[in-house]
Amino acid sequence: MARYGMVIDLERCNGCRACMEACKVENATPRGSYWMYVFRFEQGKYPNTKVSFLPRPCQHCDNAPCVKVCPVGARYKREDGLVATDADRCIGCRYCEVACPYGVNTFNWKEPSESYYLNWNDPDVSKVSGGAVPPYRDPDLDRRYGPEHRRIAGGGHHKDVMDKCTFCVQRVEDDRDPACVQTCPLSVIQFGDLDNPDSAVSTLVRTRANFRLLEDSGTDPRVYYLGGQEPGEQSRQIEAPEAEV
Amino acid sequence: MALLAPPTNQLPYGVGRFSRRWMALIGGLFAVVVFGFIAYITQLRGGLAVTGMRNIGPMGGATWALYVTFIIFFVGLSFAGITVAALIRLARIDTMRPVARMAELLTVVSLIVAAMVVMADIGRPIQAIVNLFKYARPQSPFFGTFTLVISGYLFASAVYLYLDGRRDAAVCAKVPGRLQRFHRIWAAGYQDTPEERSRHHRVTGWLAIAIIPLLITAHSTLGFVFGLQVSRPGWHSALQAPAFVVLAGTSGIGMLLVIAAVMRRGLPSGDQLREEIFTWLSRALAILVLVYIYFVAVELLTTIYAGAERERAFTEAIITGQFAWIFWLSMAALLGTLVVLAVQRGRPGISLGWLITAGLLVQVAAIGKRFLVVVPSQTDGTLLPYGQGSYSPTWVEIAIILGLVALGTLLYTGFVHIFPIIEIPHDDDAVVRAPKRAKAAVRAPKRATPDAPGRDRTVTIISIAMVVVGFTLQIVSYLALAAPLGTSTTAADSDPRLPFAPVIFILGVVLVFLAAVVYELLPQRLARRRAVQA
Repeated sequence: MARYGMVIDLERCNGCRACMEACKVENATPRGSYWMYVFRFEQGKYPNTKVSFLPRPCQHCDNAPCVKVCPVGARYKREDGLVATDADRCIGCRYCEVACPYGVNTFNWKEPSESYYLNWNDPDVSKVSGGAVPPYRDPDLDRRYGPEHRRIAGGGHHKDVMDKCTFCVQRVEDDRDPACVQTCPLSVIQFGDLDNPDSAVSTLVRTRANFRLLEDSGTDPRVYYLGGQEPGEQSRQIEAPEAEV
Repeated sequence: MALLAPPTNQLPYGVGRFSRRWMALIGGLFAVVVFGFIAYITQLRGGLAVTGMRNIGPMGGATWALYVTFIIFFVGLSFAGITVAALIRLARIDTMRPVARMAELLTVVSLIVAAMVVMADIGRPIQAIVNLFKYARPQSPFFGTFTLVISGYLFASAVYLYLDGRRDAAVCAKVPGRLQRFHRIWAAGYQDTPEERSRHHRVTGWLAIAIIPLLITAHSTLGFVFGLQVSRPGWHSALQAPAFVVLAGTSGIGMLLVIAAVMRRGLPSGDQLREEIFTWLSRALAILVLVYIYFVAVELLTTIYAGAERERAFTEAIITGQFAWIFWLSMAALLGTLVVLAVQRGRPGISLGWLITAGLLVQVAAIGKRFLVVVPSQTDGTLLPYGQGSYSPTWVEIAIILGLVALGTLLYTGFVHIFPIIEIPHDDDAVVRAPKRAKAAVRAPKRATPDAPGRDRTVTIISIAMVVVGFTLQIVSYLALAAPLGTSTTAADSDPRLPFAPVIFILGVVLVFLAAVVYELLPQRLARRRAVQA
């Protein structure tokens, strides 16, 4: 069985964040929720400073701390390497979120209908839309996936359950690349079977210098970074966090 | 057969007397509870978005915050309760016996409140209850919190409180009044025969022995919820679990001191809570505060002197950053407790005001330190360059916490008014002081009666069988029936191997402690049935 993984070439990335946008469109994530997130950070002391970019999907760790701590088995590891979240089983305790060193989990703090790109219940908007609320629910995201038939694509983004990057399971099971991979204009992100030695991702990992994020946490991530360098304690974020939901 | 001497025609310690002032207090507390409930409804409708909590990372928030702080706080309060009660029993500290029941009640009430805070924090409380019973995984540190703390510990404490109260319930049941029925049910036919008494002492002795390891495990488990996580600076520490236990003891003893002081002032014949009790409690409190300060110093030194870069930066953020005021406030409160206790000690007699101050100062420190364990590791402790986060609670969180504090107080004072909170002194406490002689005295006549030994053995065998089966169920369900331990590789690892395996585990815990009830209550049932047959 294929065991998927991702390779991200930091030498190509220019921080355009098209992958974040593609992810939001594909997965219809609520406001403030970024399954794919691109760090824009600064390192060094003036005048020797450098701005770097680092796309951060879920690392789909082989020894995932979130899987370990989930009290009900809503977060689980699939045989194809994906780390999935079962929306029906999640109880909203948010232990996975504090256990994850990468900060990839996004909780659904409220019912998301009013906080997508546009608030359709806003009086100004409904004047134009005539009160119509377009269907947000993507049937692909509501389906059940894998041999275990569990709802893991994040459909509906139900209030009080945890979400995170799914490696676009709805596309992967359909033999398509995840949305971020397909959209990236510079082919920064590659996706494929890391168990197959002839796959593009395996070749890249074998032939180019690479690192994985926070490897000393023992998480054994399935996302490899080529070129660039791992952000350290001295790296500074260059933009403020957005806390609005 | 020593019959229970009916006391005066009035229930002791103000039980059954509902003064107007007390009703006003109840009314006030009830109003706060209602306010908290309204806040909870607001939260259920709007989702947790109405709280100050946000996602770690891109949102720069804390996803565990005030609620989790108070879950730890309330579970911590429960620690001292049953510990003190068990120690009084095991070490035979007779002077302390009047606070034993206060301690037991503190444990039961604070655990109930802690469970309610969990429900407030969790996104989907209904699914949580169902799914935990169905799927709870031993690998998650929450498994221990859920089974040991909430179910096992609460059940064990309730059993202890119940059995320990039977004799007083029997005394109260002799007094006619509205509460008579309640007391009669509680007493469950208790006659205070020498046999029953020795039986009871044997049971509580064993319960006390069983409860002490359970509560060390339970509080450590809560520490492990944090201590086992490498991802958050400030959490991954071997000192986490012991520090949780010690701080739990500190705040619990402090609360017990406050309660004892209030009872001494407020209860009729409250002066039975003699000075030695307060001396003992304040000495225990001082020792625990010193041990905790030592722990804090060790932790600070280790991380600042030799810690990894991130740990050091994080520790510096704790003592100089946005939450530094909480750290210094907590430290000041701990030192203040010591100062207040010293001042109190230097004065003639005891000053309840000073003792209450010390007990409350410790609560400030305990809440502050718990907040510092929970929140800054999320806002200031991300390992990737997310930037600094922030957290401040909203009115909803504060209202729910206040409401639950009021509910706890309500339950406590409510109980005090329907049941004697101080053990009614008995003239025949010889069993406690000289157990061997008393047991011999009990056994001698028993052998004389032809059917007594056989009956006794049946009950003993049943109880021991319950304990053995209980432990077996726990071990088997933990290791073989629940979801497997270790790194999981397939979806199947997320399901229990036998559906509802966690229920079997809890059943095991319950069975072990239910054995105590059976051991105490079954002999009478058997005797009664025999009497009916005769």
